[in-house]
Amino acid sequence: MIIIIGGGPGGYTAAIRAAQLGSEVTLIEMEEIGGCCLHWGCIPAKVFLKASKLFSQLELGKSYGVSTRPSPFDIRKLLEKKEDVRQKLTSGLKNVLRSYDVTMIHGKGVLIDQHTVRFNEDELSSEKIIVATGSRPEVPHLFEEMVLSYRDVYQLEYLPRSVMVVEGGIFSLEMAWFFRELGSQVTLLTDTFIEREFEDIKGRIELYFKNHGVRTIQGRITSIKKSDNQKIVEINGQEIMAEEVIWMNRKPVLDALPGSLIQDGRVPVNEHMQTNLPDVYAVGDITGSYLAGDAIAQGITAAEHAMGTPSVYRGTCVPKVMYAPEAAVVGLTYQQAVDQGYEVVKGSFPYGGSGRAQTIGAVQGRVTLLSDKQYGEILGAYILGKGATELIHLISFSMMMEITMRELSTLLCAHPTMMETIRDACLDVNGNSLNMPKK
Amino acid sequence: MKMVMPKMGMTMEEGTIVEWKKKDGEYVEKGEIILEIMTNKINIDVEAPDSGYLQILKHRDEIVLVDEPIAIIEKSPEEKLKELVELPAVSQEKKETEPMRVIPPESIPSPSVRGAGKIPVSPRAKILAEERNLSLDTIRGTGPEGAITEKDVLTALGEGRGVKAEIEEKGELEGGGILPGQEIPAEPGRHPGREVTNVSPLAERIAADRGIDLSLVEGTGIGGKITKEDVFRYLGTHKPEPAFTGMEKPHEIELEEFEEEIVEIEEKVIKEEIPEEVPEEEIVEEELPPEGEVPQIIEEITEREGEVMGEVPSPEEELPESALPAPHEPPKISGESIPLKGIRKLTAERMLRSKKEAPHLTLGMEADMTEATKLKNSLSVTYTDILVRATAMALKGHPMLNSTLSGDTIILRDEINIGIAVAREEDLLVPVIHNADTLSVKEISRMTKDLIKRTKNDQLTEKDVLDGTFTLSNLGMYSIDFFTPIINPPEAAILGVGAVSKKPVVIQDTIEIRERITLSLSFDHRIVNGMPAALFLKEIKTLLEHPYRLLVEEGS
Repeated sequence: MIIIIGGGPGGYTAAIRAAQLGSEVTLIEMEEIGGCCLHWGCIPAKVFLKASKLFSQLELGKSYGVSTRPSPFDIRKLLEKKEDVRQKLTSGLKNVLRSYDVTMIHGKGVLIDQHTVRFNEDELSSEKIIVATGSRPEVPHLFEEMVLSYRDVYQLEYLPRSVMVVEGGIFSLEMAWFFRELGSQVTLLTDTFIEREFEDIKGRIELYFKNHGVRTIQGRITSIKKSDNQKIVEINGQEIMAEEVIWMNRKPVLDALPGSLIQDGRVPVNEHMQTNLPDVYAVGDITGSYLAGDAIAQGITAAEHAMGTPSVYRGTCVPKVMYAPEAAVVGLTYQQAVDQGYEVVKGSFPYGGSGRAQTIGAVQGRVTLLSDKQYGEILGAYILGKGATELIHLISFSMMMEITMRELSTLLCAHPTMMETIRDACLDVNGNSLNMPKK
Repeated sequence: MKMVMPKMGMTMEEGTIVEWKKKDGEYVEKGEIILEIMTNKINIDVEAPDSGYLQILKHRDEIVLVDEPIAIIEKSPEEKLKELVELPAVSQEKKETEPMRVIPPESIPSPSVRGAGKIPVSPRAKILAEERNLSLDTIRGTGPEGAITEKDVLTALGEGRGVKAEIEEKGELEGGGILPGQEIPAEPGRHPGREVTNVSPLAERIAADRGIDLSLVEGTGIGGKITKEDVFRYLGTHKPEPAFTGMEKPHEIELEEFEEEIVEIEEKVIKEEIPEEVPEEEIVEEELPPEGEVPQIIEEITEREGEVMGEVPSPEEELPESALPAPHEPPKISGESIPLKGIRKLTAERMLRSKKEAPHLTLGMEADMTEATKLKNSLSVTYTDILVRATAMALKGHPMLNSTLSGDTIILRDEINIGIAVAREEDLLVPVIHNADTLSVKEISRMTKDLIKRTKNDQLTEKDVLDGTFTLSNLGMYSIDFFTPIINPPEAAILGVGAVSKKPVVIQDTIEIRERITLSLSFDHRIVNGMPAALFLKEIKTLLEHPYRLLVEEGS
């Protein structure tokens, strides 16, 4: 028997996997099965970004002979679409869970000891427990009335003409992007623009934002006041106006756990996702990474290990992606690779050299692979450009299989496809790209 | 056959690979010069011990112990067969009738044999071969790098087509993967001696490079596949992947282990070795090779309004490198960077090793050189020549200072070979005067002149630098008086000498002006104690102060 607390991507994936391996599974969820990701996170965000992309792409059509007259953006239509997607995915998910006989309980589960969970008034015993309680918005009490959390954004019934997005990171950048593309004035308040994993392409993304008119400032908010339908935000003595202030900060939900399992505001785990109590696992946001892809991979590892397989979570092989602009990274950054003592060589290919990219007009972008000179080990990659979020998987898979650059460069591709850029970047390590002038 | 690091001198313990003259996979002839090594800062050519295809195990700049394998010279299959069967001209066609080997006519024989048992196999091929009870070493591979593919297995079985259908019927997953819902089968760990095929390409490469027998390595990947981590664990240098940390925090990654440490020379003892030294020479990590770096290509300008999402901006620049964080930032000390390479690196390592292994003690003693100066002038020799003679004579009577510590045994060397430290612009070499005790001062002088000339012209041979038993280092010409020389391993001691200069000296209660010199003897306290070392030094002092003894006696 395995009890899983939390029904987001970490939890529901673990539940399904454990059931596949033959366990009886109980899934306890406090709000909605599907978690933040499905309801107030990844999914709604991507639906929103699709809307803003379609809107901004109208102009591109002209060069292909397709002209339209822009009409005002209808955010209520977008909300409907979001709801539609959300419901489809939720019912689909519940079907999958039901098909595996996963018992779903609506309630708040709390760990009593390593084999007992209390929810509502009942207690349930279990051999193993997986905790995947995710994260929630963290808004200072003082500003609660004045700001929107990242959850609230997806209920907005109007498009604000100006927004301030508080706190950096890829989710915030996507949020800022959405509003900017629809024409709002956007100010981004943050000290860390983007997560460290993206540092090799940070500069380009920053520039992109800057060129698109997103203002980035640093500092601390000292007060927020309301005036008419604007908010007046005081930062470092300056006053900035915005119709809406969107507070992106989040923190892990640790209520279900005893203090002994918590350190520095998160749950430390080993490579099998075990906490200090070997029969209790933790996956997802509570371990410190806020990406659903990580949570899913961790959920699989935890479930497999709980069922007796020596599964290990390989975080470096899980790609990290963002959609504003479309970018993806995996493995080590250049600096990390150098620090670890590798003799790093880069192979790179610009989208401008890709036939496919030219046909769809997505010529701004670049694929870069990092490898170790001695054995050709693939250490990492960063891709900026259309399709990055899919392309990256060939690299991450190669890394998992310990395929070296030599093997990867034998990739045979259909033409014209974006995948050819990966092969060319690989060949470029030795200056042998088939689509670039001889070095 | 295995090619090992040759022992080119009695005291040679290790050599550095300078350059392979042949490429990996190339055919070499017995006796052909295929490699250049360096030992004691001398470059030596090495011949191929046999004919065959070269498979390089140790590469440029690697330091290898004597008798350790550095390459494999593999006979081609044809040659091997020739040797075994002794049939004249065994051709391809003839081989087809042999029951054991089935070579498809269109296969491309791959001349570069990758060491026994290390032919890659695709997962499908492996499963199929197992099912049909076919041993993989009877199959000729036609995949990349001679890899055995499913097609090769089928060809070996004599089945060309129709297999696809069969496999589809069974509904097997590509590559014998794990169907979702199945448990992951774990294969029993090791099969010593058995040919290993379930290994990742990366792990295979690493193992080949380090000369590891994969059949001894336990695999923990899918289906028991051997991964890079497994290989390193086997080597005992395993560092597990960092336990997962959240995205916001920086990864705590342990530094990858190095064969050679980055050397930090703590003491200023270096002064002795580098006459024109820049104080606080920076020891910097090697810089990245430029060929790895891809110059950023400026993107074509194709700006559009309303760019499609996912495209990077501003076409004017592929963001200029200066705006990006510098990709490689050396330790943040300002100043010119000089990478530690070649002889400098070797020197650094030897110095560290010497200091680490041998507890150094240095004795300082002044000697009167007034008489010796007269001798020097009348014979037209140098102070160094006189010192070599005096040292050689003294060593005869104090054999412990002419010894070497080998494990737990002190070996009293049977020759007295004195090395003289010669400074060049960039480095320091120590050519050796063999059997110095049998030579007169004049003879020593001739030899020294010749050695120094050849050192400065880069004409030293390996005989010139090997087998030293004691070293003499003269910093007098740089006005140094006393210093603490570092022993030249594996010797027991080193004598440093300073400048000869006029000094006021008390002799029988009066002050006289005399030529004086300071002798600095560093010795290995594992081998010798202070008193015997002092007595030895006293002997040298006596000889210097009564230099006629250098001329007449054969030994003290």
